Amino acid sequence: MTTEVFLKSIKSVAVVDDDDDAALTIIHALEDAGFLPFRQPAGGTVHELAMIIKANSEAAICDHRLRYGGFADISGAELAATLIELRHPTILATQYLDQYADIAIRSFRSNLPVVMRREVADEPDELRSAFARCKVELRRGKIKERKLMRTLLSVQDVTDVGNVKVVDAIVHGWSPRDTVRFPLDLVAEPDRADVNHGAFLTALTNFSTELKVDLYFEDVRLAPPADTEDELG
Amino acid sequence: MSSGELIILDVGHGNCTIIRHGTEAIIIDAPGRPIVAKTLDELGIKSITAVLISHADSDHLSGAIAIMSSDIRPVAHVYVNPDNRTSESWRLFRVAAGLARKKSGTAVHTSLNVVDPGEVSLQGTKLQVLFPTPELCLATNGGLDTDGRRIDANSMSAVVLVEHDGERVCLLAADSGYHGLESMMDEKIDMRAQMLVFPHHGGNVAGAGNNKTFATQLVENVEPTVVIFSVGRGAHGTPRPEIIAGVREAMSGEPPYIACTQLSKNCIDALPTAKRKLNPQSDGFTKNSCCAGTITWPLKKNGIISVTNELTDNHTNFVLKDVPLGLCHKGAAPISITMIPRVASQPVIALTQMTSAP
Repeated sequence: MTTEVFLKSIKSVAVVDDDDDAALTIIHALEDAGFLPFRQPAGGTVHELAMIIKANSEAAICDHRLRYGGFADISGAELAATLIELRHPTILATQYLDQYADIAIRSFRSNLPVVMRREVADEPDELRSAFARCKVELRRGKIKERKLMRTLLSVQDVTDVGNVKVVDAIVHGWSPRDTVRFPLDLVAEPDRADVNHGAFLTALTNFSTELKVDLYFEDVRLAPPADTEDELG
Repeated sequence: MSSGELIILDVGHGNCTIIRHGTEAIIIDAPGRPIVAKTLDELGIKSITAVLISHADSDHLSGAIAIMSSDIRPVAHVYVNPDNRTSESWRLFRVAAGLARKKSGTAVHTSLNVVDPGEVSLQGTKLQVLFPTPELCLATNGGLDTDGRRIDANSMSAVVLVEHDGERVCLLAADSGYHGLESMMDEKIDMRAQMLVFPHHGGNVAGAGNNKTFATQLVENVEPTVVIFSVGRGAHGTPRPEIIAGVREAMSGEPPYIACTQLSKNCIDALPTAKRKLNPQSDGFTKNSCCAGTITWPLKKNGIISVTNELTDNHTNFVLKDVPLGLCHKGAAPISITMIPRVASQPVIALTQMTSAP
């Protein structure tokens, strides 16, 4: 099915951005892509705002870093993930993907089909393609590079970043060398205290993706210990 | 009998071979790269008949951790020799094997040698283990063989011949070196195959002074039409020039066709900018770092004709035009299309990734 078919139901697009210039740039790009964008005013909690956006648009694009005005207490990633849970096609855009991907975004990445770098989100063709991918995931579930598969992770480190405890782990099947960071909160609560250097975890993750920023995790638990009687050692 | 494929997957540095018949597959070695899962998904593989791990080096085994952990693609059999190493990937491989055994009933076989299992087959495709011998496996990594020589992981690396419909299709040499070659020669093992996946990615196997001789001896024994080097661009300086030279000198002046999965930095410093036809199921596809990329061999009579035709179209023309110092034709008359056999009787050499000139 072509991109055009998936986009037929999208006309009005809510733009959630606390920066006037950035919002205008995206609005122009959306207009060039054939959509009818509008600037979404702030209001209420994340859920309340999501309900307003869903009622007034056919899709949305949220900037991740919302700091000013009525958006001050809202995370763009959380808002976008809430909208996806409401089955509203939503893109998350951020100027600082590498900085935020590990913690703030990865916490919600399961419900974020498309996270775009800000400079890419200014391209009309990229926006159309991104909304089409959202629609596909909402209709068919997670496929291709978003498909979750079980693998094992080996924990290299557990540290505090700001006020967040994070895990650095090797994702086997993705790269045997490069560590991936994610919040400890993604690990099942009863197992968290035992997650430390050298621990092995089992998790669902999309390790067929090439990009580290696109990795996300579900059902993260401690793996059972190796069988010492396996005759392989 | 369904028609199948033998796929030499471009995984960057490492080895992975997939034998597919319908939705079933056998996998020989798997490094931990996204392309492995992506390819299995795109091929529609629903179950794995067997995973054979030649030896416990990470670039041959870490991808098997994810393969065995799968909730959706059960693995029936895993064959691997014991190893006393304590590396993280080996320990985790054992964790994954244990989980697969308990969850999916995977039979984990602690041997991969000429006797046990000796052979593994899938719908008319037979895999025959040519090396190691069971007695060598008793020494394990770090032990001594019966002649008192020190064994390492590469010395024990399994060598597997793929046969289909009476044709000796491909010899998968993993990381084997002189130990394996001499043992097979001593036991008069028939190593002949139409395609050879050269051992150790074309890296050092016998010391700089002996690598060339090793390469020549191996190729003289295998008599391949095509020699593939499964290399990662910029990784470990592979393939080594003296190895390629040894391959080129083999077979009385009628050397095999040589191709690498990715462009070696020993052949060219800069990646090509022009787009060209490549198998997207290649690790180097996105970065345009493929030389031959992933190579697919149709498992049917004279499947080599398809392979050599594809190499001619997508590899020969590329290296002649864009890789003037390519090791596969450096210092010799340029490869011409007429030099590449269109029938199964002659060898061809291909590089899976491209290297840059030393």
